[in-house]
Amino acid sequence: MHYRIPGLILGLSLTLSSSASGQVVRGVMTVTGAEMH
Amino acid sequence: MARDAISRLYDVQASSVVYKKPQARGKYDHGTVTFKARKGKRINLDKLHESVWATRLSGGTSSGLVRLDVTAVGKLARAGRQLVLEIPDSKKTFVLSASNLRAGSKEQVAFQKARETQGSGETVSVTGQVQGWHGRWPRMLSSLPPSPRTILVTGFEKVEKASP
Repeated sequence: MHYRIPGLILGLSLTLSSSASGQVVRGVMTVTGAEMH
Repeated sequence: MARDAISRLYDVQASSVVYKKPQARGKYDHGTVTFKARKGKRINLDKLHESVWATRLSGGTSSGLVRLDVTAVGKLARAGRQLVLEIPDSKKTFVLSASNLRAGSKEQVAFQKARETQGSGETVSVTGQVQGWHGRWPRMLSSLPPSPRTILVTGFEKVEKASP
């Protein structure tokens, strides 16, 4: 849904919604395989 | 690719994203991507999943997610018999579970401290593995792992003392 919104509004939307919807402050993702990074 | 997908997230501090390949013995060794939120922000795991999905990682390469460890800050509460971490200004909560039941283990001690702190109103930081976040690409990415999310606790600390 986000991808259909014009760029300027997209940026504003993410700014406003980001901290309210987030859950974690740090992370470590462990991956494997040829496309791991 | 996973590293780039994480870096694209608005709430991630781009300079914090570091990829490490601890064992350089072969292309299928495990590697880690560490990341942290911008100051005052939090990272949305739904958006993280969506961003990795958007890379269209292909199957048949033995690539995949081994595990996801996170640190979340919030307040502890009870939901029925479960210990949960409530995230401020968010409708999301994490169910907390012991990752190691062996008495005296670091993980068991951390979980026990969390249980004892519940009800104090203190802000706490909980670290642990997110249950269900593992599997090969692209199957692991085809749908969001189950919710509410469970953190298998490996670390715990109080962030600040409760207000008098």
